[in-house]
Amino acid sequence: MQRASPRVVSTDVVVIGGGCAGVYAALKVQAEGLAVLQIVKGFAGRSGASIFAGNLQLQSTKDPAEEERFMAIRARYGSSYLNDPDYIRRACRFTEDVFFPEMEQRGLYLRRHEDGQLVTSHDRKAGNVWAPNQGFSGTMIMELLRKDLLAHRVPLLQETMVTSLIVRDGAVAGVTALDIVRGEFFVVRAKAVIVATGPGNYLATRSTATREQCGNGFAMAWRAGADLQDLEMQWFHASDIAAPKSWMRLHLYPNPMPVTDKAVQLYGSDGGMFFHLGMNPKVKQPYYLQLRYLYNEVKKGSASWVGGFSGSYTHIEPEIMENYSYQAQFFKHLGIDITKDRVACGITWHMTFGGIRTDNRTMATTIDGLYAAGGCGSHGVGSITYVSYDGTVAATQACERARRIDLPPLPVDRVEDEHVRVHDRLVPRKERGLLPAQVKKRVRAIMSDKMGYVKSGPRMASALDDLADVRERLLPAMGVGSTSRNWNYDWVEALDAEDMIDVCELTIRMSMQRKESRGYFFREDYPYIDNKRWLKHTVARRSGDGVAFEFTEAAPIFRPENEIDDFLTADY
Amino acid sequence: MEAGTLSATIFRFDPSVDDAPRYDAIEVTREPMMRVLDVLDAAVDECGLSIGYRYFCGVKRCGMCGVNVNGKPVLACWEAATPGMVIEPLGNMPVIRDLIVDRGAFERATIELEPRLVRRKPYASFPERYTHGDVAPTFPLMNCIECYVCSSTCPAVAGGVESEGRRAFVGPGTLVQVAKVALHPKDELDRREMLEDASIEDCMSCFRCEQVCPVGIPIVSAAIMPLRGLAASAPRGRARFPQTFADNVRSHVDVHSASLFIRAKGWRGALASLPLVLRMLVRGKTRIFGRAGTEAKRRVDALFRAAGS
Repeated sequence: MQRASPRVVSTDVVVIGGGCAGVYAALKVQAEGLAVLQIVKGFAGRSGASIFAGNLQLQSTKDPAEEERFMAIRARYGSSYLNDPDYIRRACRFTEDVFFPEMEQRGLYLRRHEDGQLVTSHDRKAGNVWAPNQGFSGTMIMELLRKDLLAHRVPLLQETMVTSLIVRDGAVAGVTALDIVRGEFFVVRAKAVIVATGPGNYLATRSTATREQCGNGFAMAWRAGADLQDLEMQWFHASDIAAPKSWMRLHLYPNPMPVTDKAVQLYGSDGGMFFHLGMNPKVKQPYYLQLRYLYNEVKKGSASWVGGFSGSYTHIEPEIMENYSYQAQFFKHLGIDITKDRVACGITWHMTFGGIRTDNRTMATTIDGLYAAGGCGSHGVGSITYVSYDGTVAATQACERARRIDLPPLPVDRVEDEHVRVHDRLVPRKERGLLPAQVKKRVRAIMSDKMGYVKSGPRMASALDDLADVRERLLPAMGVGSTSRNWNYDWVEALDAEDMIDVCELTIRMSMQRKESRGYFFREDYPYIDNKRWLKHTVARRSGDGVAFEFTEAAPIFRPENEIDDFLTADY
Repeated sequence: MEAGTLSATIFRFDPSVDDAPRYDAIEVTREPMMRVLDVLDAAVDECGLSIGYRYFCGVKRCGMCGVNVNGKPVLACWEAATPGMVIEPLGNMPVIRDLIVDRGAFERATIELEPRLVRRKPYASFPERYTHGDVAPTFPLMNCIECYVCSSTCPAVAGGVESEGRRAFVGPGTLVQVAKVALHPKDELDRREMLEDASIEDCMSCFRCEQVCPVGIPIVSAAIMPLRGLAASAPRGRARFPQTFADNVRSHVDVHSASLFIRAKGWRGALASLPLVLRMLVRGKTRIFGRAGTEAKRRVDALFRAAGS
């Protein structure tokens, strides 16, 4: 069929994503005097993971001994020794010296006491602050950043999905995109591209990621030839609300509430408490430990991976919930009295520690001119404050490149192939075919069922078979409900479905490579932490149509004492 | 209706292909504590309808899932689903498709009113010195997620935010965003003229915005009234009108248009309009002296006191 040639626009730097990393990157490119185009699948500051940042880490970096102690804690309890402490150090310093002062100048209100002191947890050592309440900090930060973006007139396309990265001779030449509101496919030529699509991906039935986050950043980087890293290091939440369904992202925080040293306690269906913060006093953010205790509870038969356990705040003074928690109003709205009642919880697919492989000093990927900033990078960020550093670094590098090179020519064939691929997804469903949203739901169900917290070789192999079945049987009959080009989200979801299957398959295959357990990654067939063989990153590289795996050493700054630790009893 | 199911009616309209809107009746499996958003998700998954609806977070952070349910504007993620409910797009905004509206006019109005802190004094260092008490006036406004559910139902913006010539009333959602910075202890921008341009006097204090705010912000008392107070001393004095009108009724029992005219427009404005005033006098549309008795005045005054103004 004859298609009109797509519109082509040009800029210096494209930023993909509208969270904190993306906004920081776009503001920085504009401040450097170069042309930027920010493209957001949802809305800048309103979609994506950043709006969910509940706690803000404020770590003093002025006392070297204190800073060193924090790095050691972060390496052990925050990443099971996979983080690069040097990256964390740079991100922390940026947070203290740049991010917090800039955000406060913009009007961020970090909660204060009547005497002007910042509100922290009880011991004032955990380093968390809130803006202005626990559970709302990221929303307030993103509101202020969005206003800055709009006031500075940063060229911004919202409700626009980047469908592919255009690469020529190993270097990025631009992106292709679909304007969701008008249904127009177009091309952006650029000298550098920054992917900032976040750490969260809605790849399981219950997920903390937002609606639009479907692994698109990973999928487009992979198809363009970039290396991915540590996708198996998928984090989970054990204490998110069970019902209503759409509130699956409502989090009961396992780390201390403001002004207390208390956090949510977990109970099994037999009424017994199976997790509280005091069980491991050294661990201030015991998300991964909750899951290991939950595993024991499931073994005992007093919880299951689809629910049957609960969380409670009954030990916390009601006025503290009322004064400092954004979440409190949700329980009240459901008629739950949190001074007396427990809240039914469920397990949720949370952020990915891994992502697009980057050099954490430059945010450069393995493709020239392509940078990955924030949670979609592979250095295990997990903090809205740190990603402002990523965005700034990536933008600085991208600007340096943009000043140095001419606009690369477009590989016309690649663009035309992508145009055809996107166009072919705007096809009506066949008889008994599913809507794309229905296919996505089935992919998520497979991942929940067979790629949940507890993994094993056979279950993962079976998940791959199920995904292959979706690809071969469901995708060809899948189609849109209407071929209108006017805000046709079916069309977007058809592209999502393909991206999701690609990313889920890669995640499974990388998980099969790692023959140990670590952090949130639990293989029932390898239930020990193997520090001798696996203080390593898993790297996936494209090899023809297949995948080649490589393993690289994790930064050797801090090391665990033991070569082997029992996963279920270790505290890291 | 079967037990274990929930029925609803959903507004459908794609202006690019449909001549007129229609309504789809659906029936979906009932789930525990189901929200309106869960029903929309189920309408796609169970009924195979490709309905256009917007949301990102599902838990009252993104502010993008506003819809009308049985005529009341709500956030779909927050509102409990009820049997037989009718789900329609928000008002005061053009429909893009089905339940999706174009929020552009409100968002542009917000950004044009400089909803950012403007500092004159240099920022010292982090953390800045101030107490919780210092930000108390702006604190209740910080939870605003700009869902514009309030603006969608405001009678003062029914004619649209961007009518030609004078800018029409910008709506309560925008004013909350402006008040959040205007009442911040570190903001030093003179926002009075801007507020006049935003036609802040058009707010009728009907409190509809407060009744529907999904995060419970006291919009009129915590945002609009303080802003009106600020704007009252602006050069053109338009924002004084609501107070002038109230004073007029209070002292004359009825609207006394002649004195209202003079108070609102000033002597010069009133003189320029002298022919009109004279015609009104001749036709008995206004009078020079009020005619209310002392008892009536006392009772009206008591009403005003009771209303707290």
